Amino acid sequence: MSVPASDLERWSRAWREPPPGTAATPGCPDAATLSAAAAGESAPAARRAVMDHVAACPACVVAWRLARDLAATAPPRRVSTVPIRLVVAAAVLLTALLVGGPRRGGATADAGWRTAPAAVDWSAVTSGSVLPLGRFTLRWPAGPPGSRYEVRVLTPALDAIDRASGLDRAEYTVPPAALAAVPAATHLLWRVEVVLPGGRREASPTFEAVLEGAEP
Amino acid sequence: MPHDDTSRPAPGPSDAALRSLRERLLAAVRRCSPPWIANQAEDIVQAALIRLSQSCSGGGGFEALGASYLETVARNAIIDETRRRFRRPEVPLGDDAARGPVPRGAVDRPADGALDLDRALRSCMATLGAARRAAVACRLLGYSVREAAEVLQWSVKKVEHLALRGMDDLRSCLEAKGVRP
Repeated sequence: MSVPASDLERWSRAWREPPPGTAATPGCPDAATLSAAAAGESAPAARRAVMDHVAACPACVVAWRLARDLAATAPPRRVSTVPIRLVVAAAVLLTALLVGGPRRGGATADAGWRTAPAAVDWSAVTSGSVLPLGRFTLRWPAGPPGSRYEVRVLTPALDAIDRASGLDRAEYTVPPAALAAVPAATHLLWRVEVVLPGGRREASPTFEAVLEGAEP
Repeated sequence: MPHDDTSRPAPGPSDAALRSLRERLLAAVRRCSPPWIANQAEDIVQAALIRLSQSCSGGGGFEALGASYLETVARNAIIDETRRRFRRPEVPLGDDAARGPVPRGAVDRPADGALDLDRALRSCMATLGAARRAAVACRLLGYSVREAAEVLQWSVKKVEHLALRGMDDLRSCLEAKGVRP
């Protein structure tokens, strides 16, 4: 027995667009957990757990749709994941065009282009790792020798829980005391800024790390 | 002393980027929400951006944030702000406000039985097994089978089977509750 399309549409609309007066079901996942699941960035079990809650919660149906929509329309990340050889080839080609081709007055032909390739391959960072309280170690690829790092860690509610600067190694362990008040299974946000030997700074995208605990 | 250009911090998002983000948030809220939430889109986005601004006021404001960082935290803020509206329904101002608090569910109650269908659907969904419930949820969200399989990380065949069985269960449950299928 199948459900007629007209009924499906009516049910779907009623369920997707909860009327005023409907309330959220208790136990909503935090925004970062829901957002990661909707963007397909979390583990399959975590996605299914979120979808199971969404199925019952009017507020989270709307939140899920918002998260999917925003993930789909997000601008591309600024840090390029294009192989370095392609970047170099493009730069060589551009230089040849600028030197050999006609110049158009004082127009800045390189507007919008990166002046240097990324010093760190951020695409190598694993976002969404589940880490235990006592060994909540964040790792990223090292920059050139002499680089220093600054790390910032926030809760999904955007409260800063830890910040470290002047690090000379491409890893940082968040002290357990800083995580003491954070509930298990919380998706924390973290970001690194590399201070290159010449003083130039390069910021990473935002990554997530999950505090180990019960199934999110 | 010559200005050391390389010592400047990484540039934060520009005003244009922030305006673009605000427009995108507004469009998403209007596109993905029921009308009574969509009508509050301006308020929701404004509240989320204020919260975002407050949370980074100690670290140089928006300028200290990278674009992807801003994107992530803005997305989370807008989700929280939207869900908050379900916990705190809008109370109309004017004469009605003087009559005292309005009970939950009495605000702008739909007259077409939508609330009853909504409750019946959610009540019936709760009776389904977890796997069928997840597949039915994807179906009600309007996803194709392939999209649902990608979301749930199951095979297309499995999702198809679960959704079919789940929709049958849902239909039977609604009929038992007296809701016309």
